[in-house]
This record gives sequence, structure tokens and C-alpha cells, in this order.
Amino acid sequence: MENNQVQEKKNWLSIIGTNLALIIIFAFFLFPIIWMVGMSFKTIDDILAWPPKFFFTPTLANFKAIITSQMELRGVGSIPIDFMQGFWHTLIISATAVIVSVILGVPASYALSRFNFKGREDIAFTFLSFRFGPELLVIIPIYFIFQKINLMDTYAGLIWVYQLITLPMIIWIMRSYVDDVPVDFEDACVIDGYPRWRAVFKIVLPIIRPGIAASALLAFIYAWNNFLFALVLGSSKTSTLTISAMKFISAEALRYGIMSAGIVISFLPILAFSVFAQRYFVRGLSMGAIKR
Amino acid sequence: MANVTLENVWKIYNSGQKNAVDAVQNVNLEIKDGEFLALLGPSGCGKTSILRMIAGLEKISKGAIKIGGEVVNNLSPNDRNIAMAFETYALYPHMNVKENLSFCLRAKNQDPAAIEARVEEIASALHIKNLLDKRPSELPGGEQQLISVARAMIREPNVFLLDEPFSHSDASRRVQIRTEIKRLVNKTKTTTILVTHDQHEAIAMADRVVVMNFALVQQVGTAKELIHRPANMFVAGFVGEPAINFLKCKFVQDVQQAKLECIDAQGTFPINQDIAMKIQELGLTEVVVGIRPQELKITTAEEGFIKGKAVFFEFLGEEGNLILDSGSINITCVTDPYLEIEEGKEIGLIADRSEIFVFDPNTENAICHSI
Amino acid sequence: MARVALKQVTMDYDSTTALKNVSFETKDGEFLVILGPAGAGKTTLLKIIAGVLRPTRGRVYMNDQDITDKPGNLRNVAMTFEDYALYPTFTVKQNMDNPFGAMENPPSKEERENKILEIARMLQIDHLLDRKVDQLSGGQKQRVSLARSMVRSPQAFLFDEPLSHVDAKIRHAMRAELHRLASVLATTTIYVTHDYVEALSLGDRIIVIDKGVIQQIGTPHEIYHDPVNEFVAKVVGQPNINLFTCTVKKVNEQIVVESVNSSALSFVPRADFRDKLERYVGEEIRIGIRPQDIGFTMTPNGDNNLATKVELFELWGRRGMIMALLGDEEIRVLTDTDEVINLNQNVWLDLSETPLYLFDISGVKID
Repeated sequence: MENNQVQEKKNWLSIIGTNLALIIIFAFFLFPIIWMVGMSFKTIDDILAWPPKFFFTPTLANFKAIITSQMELRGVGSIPIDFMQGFWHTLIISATAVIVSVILGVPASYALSRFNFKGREDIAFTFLSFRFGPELLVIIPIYFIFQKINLMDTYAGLIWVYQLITLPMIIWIMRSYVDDVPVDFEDACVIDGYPRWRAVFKIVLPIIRPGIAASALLAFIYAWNNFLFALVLGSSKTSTLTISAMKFISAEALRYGIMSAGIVISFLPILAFSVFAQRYFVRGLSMGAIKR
Repeated sequence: MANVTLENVWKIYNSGQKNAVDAVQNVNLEIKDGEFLALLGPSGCGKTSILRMIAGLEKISKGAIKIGGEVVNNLSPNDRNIAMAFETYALYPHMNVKENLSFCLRAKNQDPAAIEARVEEIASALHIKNLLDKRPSELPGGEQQLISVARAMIREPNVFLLDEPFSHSDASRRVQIRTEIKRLVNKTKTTTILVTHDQHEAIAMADRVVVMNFALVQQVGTAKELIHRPANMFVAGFVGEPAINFLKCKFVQDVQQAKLECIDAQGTFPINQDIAMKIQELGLTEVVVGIRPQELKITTAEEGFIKGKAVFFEFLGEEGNLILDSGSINITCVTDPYLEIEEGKEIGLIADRSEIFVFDPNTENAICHSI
Repeated sequence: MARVALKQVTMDYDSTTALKNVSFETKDGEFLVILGPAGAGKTTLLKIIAGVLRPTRGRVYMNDQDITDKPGNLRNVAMTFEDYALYPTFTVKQNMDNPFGAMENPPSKEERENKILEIARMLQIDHLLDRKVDQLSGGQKQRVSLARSMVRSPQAFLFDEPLSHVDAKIRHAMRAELHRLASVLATTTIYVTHDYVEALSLGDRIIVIDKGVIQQIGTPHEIYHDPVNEFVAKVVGQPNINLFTCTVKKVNEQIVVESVNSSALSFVPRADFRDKLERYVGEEIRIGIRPQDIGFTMTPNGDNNLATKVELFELWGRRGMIMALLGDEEIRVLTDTDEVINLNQNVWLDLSETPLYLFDISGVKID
């Protein structure tokens, strides 16, 4: 029975108050983003204008510059911009890192969930601890190691290091998902005649698919946004978007417009994935929150 | 101690909207002071809504509820002097049993010595003195329920409400807990209202039972009235275990004797002329006959009202159940547990005509309770 | 058809032992019920027989062959789970089809369809074949669970509390259906439940188990009338059997049994019990009396009557259940009629013709 404590008379004041509060909160959080999106459509004059211009004529020049990798400088000509390169680097590194993490992490989460072995919780906690450690703490040793084994500025190196970010997330979220699938389902399938590994593929995997989607998306976002690893351990061959965006801050000019356009392009893929996988996403976040 | 009255009470969810639901329709009830009343019905029938309206946890959509003569519609639960034991116990997990019990008394700033005495008194009454120092989470469901009841009763409420209190108790403890609760309620003569879907429980504990289905009161009566004079097919089928046997019958008027001939079973019932007249007045050619398994006695195939083959005998300890295959349906009959009968044997079943019910198949109401 | 046997099976977990030295053997085609309260180890037992759980110690046999090391997917048993374990991403038909996919030489698509349809019709779920599992009611899920286990013609059926989530009203009808099904399938069945009525109704034999230890193996009549200890005596029967600690006395050459808590509960036992009690004169024993075996009158009726007052009266279906006090001892009586009896009414109990269940002070049956 629902706990129905509905007031039959509507309370207008509380509704207006609540909505107002929500608008203010949303404005507070979203304003920087909205402003930045605005900047990507403004000319540099509009951007630097004071008082700030809320109404302006939009221009696509910034986007054009990024995509064609050429920026027009007034009266001087054009200079090359290699922003799009960063886009592809980021995409490849992040996606591959997540794929590797899924392939390693899902079986690991199954093992942590189903098998009771000595040190199980310690191992699980160790995985989680990778997320605690600040990147700055480990970056220097990794830098030296990478130099020694020639993994500097390589896809493989970054994908490997990104596991520190993506793997724990997938393992912890998927463990909760697997915990929620009663072992009886597998047992029933084994009794039906399938060896256990086949039972897991046939029955458990389809059930945890939403969890894999959610955790993969979450891991992808964190990988996509990573700055420090990409900066220190990468260079021209692997410079990610985060690095590329930084390049717009140069000695002679702060190219706000192009930077904003670049950032907008950067978050479009994430936005698209999130909207698409939205319903899996929320569930994935809450699954990971189940206490152990 | 107080009587409780419901006058034309309705509960409508989402009132005024497209998906409005009548959870309780026009209930009128008079519960006497000190009475133990059960609200019995399947899930969703409205019984819990009624309980919660009496408690003040739900708003009353239409009508009035009076406790002790006073209209309580607008009183908060706090002001109604009622107490409630919940299905899920709702015990405060961070307090031990003693603190749970004394909680509301302490909240009302009563004298500590008096509180102590009250706790002792109620704990002895329910035989839970040895649990006073434990935490609720350490105890099994049955004991948690007793504590929940103690906590409710310690306040000496006017009305005591029980919401499906035994659904989570171990079956073996259920009878014991029921007994403790009944004893306490008898002693204090508190008006008690119990909500349950288990007819056995309702019959065992209550002075009167209100049977509900689909938001409507089907019948109000003592256990005996519900068993021997059910108002309709729902009540007849819901109350009593094993469930009543229903047989569809054709009405046949022979020259001297009116009869009911079974359609999907092998059997015939002679009926009195006044019953025959009632059936004819209602314009029915078919009726439904109801006979409780406890009323059926085994006899020869020739003498029985119903004939069939014995297919399954259950020895259940205190009684036996015999299942008869009579055409396209099975008939259940309660017997002595030591009955020996061959599987497949053709036998007849006969019953006291004053315990054979006839129902109208369209309205499902009872036409008569004896033939 | 198979005989299933367990020898000294023990299942240890980190903090508990679920099964201790369990041994039994089914007969061919037998319907064996395992009865015990929650946590007794019943599901663990079934899973060990099915092969999805390995016992810590002990061996499992089928038809005298040791199958302890045989993996679960090769044992050809069928199991239904208490929560049905229907594959949620499949339809009913796909659930039922699943066992075929595992076979080495699966039957043709047509044969599979026919078998599925045949079983679906038998269990009246043929109209549900294309439904997704989460759209089914509890009763329907249970039938699908059963159907899935039947497509393969297994050597043995294992049922884990199939009726525990079924409404009380329908349980009775389901028992009859299970009985009918059992005779149609004619396959060795091991059925687990905590409900003693199901056990008495369905079992050819019953194994009573508590905390992982087998208490007794016997027919329903044996379990009910000849319980091997107090636990078994209490497990079957509602209202519960009355149990009293009593001293056996000899008064004027007559054996008399008297409760240690109350001299009001004192009576001369029925003749056929006196020999056994003779051996315990002067000692304490435990006596069990079933509520329906107690003679009961509203007026005094002879010398051997015990006067009591009615503490509590409950209507039990068409009978009455009385709790009466004999001094400090509470006694439960099941009467034959549904006449309401008032509280504090004087009634008389007659225990002179009552069958007694005798146990020694530790709760074990006296032979």
C-alpha cells in the first residue's frame, strides 16, 4: 500500500518555491557550460566585450577552424590547428581502454561475486584503492618506468595506464550486478545440461548487459576526461583532447572562441552516448553504491 | 476502550483524476467496545485502507469515522489514542527492546518509575521479560512481532490495530504468538481490529469477521455465520479450508419432486418446493450448489447425492482429505484420518440437507442455505 | 527412473555446517519428502544431489553408481527452485526449450516443438508460451518451472519448496495436481518442504531434518504416530503436541503420571502404556499428548477427570481449540465441535484413553 500523505488541496506557494529553487540551482551549475557554448559561437570581439554580451550574432567560424584545421588570422592568413588529431587519439585510447577493462573486469567481477576464496575482500578493496590514489602520486614513478620500457607516447602505454581509471569502476559496479543475479539461474541452466561456463554466457551475461553498458559508459567518461596521464605520459603522437585544448592557451593569445568550440566538440560524443544509454546509466551508478 | 463506527466511508485514490481508484466503497460498520474484529480478504480488497483510515494514516475520502462517539476524521493519529502493530514490526533498530517499549511513554514525559512498572507489566503479560535487553535485530520474526504488539499496547490505547501481523512469522510460532496477543487483548478488553488474508487466523481470533473483496464489504458476521450462512459465493469460497465444493446444476421440476442435477459432475440433489419456487421466481434454469468438504460423508454410490471415483486420499494427521473424481471436476471431502479406501473405488457422498447451499450463478448471491 | 543415495554427506561452510553425515536411499519411483524448518539444509541437500554444489565430505550415488564427481550438467536430473529461476530474458517457450540446446544429439526442431506443446498442454500453460517470464503470475511461473524440468524425461525430479509462495487456498488443489502429476510421471522424486501437511499428503516416505541432521526417515504414519524424538513429534500436527515433564509414580500399586510443574496434571495412563512406564517409576520422563486425543466434556464424567478452566478458545475450522490451565501447566485440546466455549468456563478433561508419546528426559523416544 502506498503511504499516501497527499494534501488534497494544492499548495501553490510550495510549488512555486520549489521550482524557483530548482531553477536557481540549475542556473548555478549549468551557467559556465552555457556560457562556454555561447562563446563557441561568438567572435573574439563578442567574447571579450564588456559588459558581457548575452545577445549576439552567432558565427560558425570557430567550428570551421577546428574542423578544417585552419584558423584565419585577420589580415595575416591562416595557421594550422591540429585539434581534430586529439579527437581521434582520445577516442581510440579511451575506447580501447574501456574495452580492455570490460574484457578483464567482467570475469573478475564474476569471480569476486561467486567464488569464496581467501583474501577476496582484500583483492576487491585493492582494486578500489586504485581510484583513491591521486594521479600525481604515481605519475613520477610511472614516467620513469615508461621511459625505460619505451612506452612513452604510445597508445599501448596510455591504454595500460588508463586501466587504473577504468578497471576498478567496471569491477566494482559489475560485482553488484552479478551479486543481484541469483545463483539459482546458473544452477538451473547447469541442471538443464550446460557446463557452467556456457550457463554463464547464456543466462547471466544477458541479464548483466545493462550493467556492462552503464559501467562502460562511466569508465569511458572518466578516461575521456583524463588530463594528467595524457599530459605527462603522452606527447605529440598521443596527445589527447585535454592536451589539445590546453594548447589554445599560448603566449600570444588566449583563443577562447576556438577553445570553446573545441570543448563543445569534445563533449558531444559523451553527450550523445549518455542520452542514448541514459536509462542504463542511472541504474549503473546506483548499483555500484550497494554496500559490501 | 471505545467503540468504533464507520459511516458511509469511502477511500478513493487519485480522486478527480483519470486513474481514480475506489479502494473502499461505502463501508458501514459498528464495532462494539471491547470487540475483536477481523477484516478479511485477498490482497487489494481494501482492508488495509480501512485500517489506515481508522488509524489516521490515510485521509478519509468520504464519510465519517467515530471512535468513542467522537468524529476523528480530522484528528491526527497521535490524537486518536490508537495503537498499531505493523506487518513489518517497525521496531527502532538502534534501541533495545526495553527502550522500544518505553519510547512513547518517555516521549510523553511520564514518571520514570511508572514507566518502569508499565514495561514490566506488559512484558510479563506477553512473556517477553527475558528479551528486554536484546536488540530487535537479534530476535526472530515471531518475537519481534510480540514486541511490536507490546509497544502498541503499553499505551493502553482505545483501539488496537493489527496489520497482517503474522505474515512474516515462522509457522510454528504463529499459533503461540496469536495466543499471547489474544490473551492480552482479552485481559485488557481493548477494542481490536485485525487485518489479514488468512481466513484461519480471522476465524480463530475474531468475535466477528468482515469479509471484503474489490473494495466492497461482502459479509459481516461471526465465524459460524460465515461458515454456515455465507452471503455469496465469494464468502463461501474464501472462508473455510479446504475450500467449499461448487457444483453447477440444472434446475429440473419433476411431477412430485424438484431436483438439481449436476452439470459437470455426477450427482443429483432433491430440493424442497419452497426452494424450487424461489429458483423459479428468479427465472433461473441453472444454479450453483455449494457443499463444504466437512459436511460430506461417504456412503454407497446408490445412496449418495454425488457419485464418483476415489482418486486421492491424504492423511493429514488430525484429519484426512478424500478427493473424488466426479466427471469433469474433483470433489473434496474431509474424513477421519484413518480411512482406508481403494484408489478408484466408486463411492457416493451425502450431506446434511441443512448444510447444502444454493447460489445464483449470475449475481453469485446465496439463494438459500439448506435444501 | 533412478535410485538416489547419499552416504555420509557433510557440507561445511565458513561459519556453519549445513549438513552433517546425511545418509539415505530412495526406492525406485518413490516420492520422498524432506521436511524441516527453514535453515535445516534442505536446499543444500537438493543442490548436492543435482550436482551444482560439491559436498565437503561424503558420496552421492545414482543407481549404485558413484556420481559425486560427475558435473551437474551430466546427471540428468531436473530441479525446480523455490524462486522458480526462470530465465528472465527468455520467453516461456525458450525457457522450456533450453534443456534441448544442451544435448549432444538434440531432437529435431519439430520434435522439440511437439514435446514442449505436449507438456505445456498437460500443465495448462500452452497459452503462455510466447510470454515473457516477468509477465506471469506466481502460479503460472511455478508451472513453467515444472514444465521446463519435464521436457527432458529426467531420471529424478528434485522439487525445492514448490508451493511455498502459493496462496493457502490454492495449495490444497495444487497438492492434488502434484499427486496426479507424480503418478503420470512415475519418476523418483525428492520433494523439499517446511509444511508438514504437504509432507504427510504427498510423501511415500518422509525424511525429517533439523539443522543439517536427519532426525527420522519413515512413512507419514510412522512420522506422525511413532516420532523418534520430540522434534519430530512437534514438527507434525496442528495444534502442536503438548509436551510435559512428568514423574512416574506408583500409588496403591497403580501407575500414575504427574507433571513436575503441577500436581493438577495427574492421571492414570492407558493400559497399554503401563508396562513401559513401569520401568521409569520414580524417574522423570517427557510425555507427549496430541490435542485431538484428549477426552473433553462440559460436565464431570467419572473419576479420572481433570477439572480445568478455559484460558483461551479459538475456532479451528469446524473444531475448537482450547487452552486450559491445569495448575501451572497449559494444555491444548482440540474438540470435535465448533460450539463456542466461554472463557473461564469449567471443563473436564479425560486422559485415561489417550495415546501417549513417551520420551526420555533428553527428548528421545522410549522404546
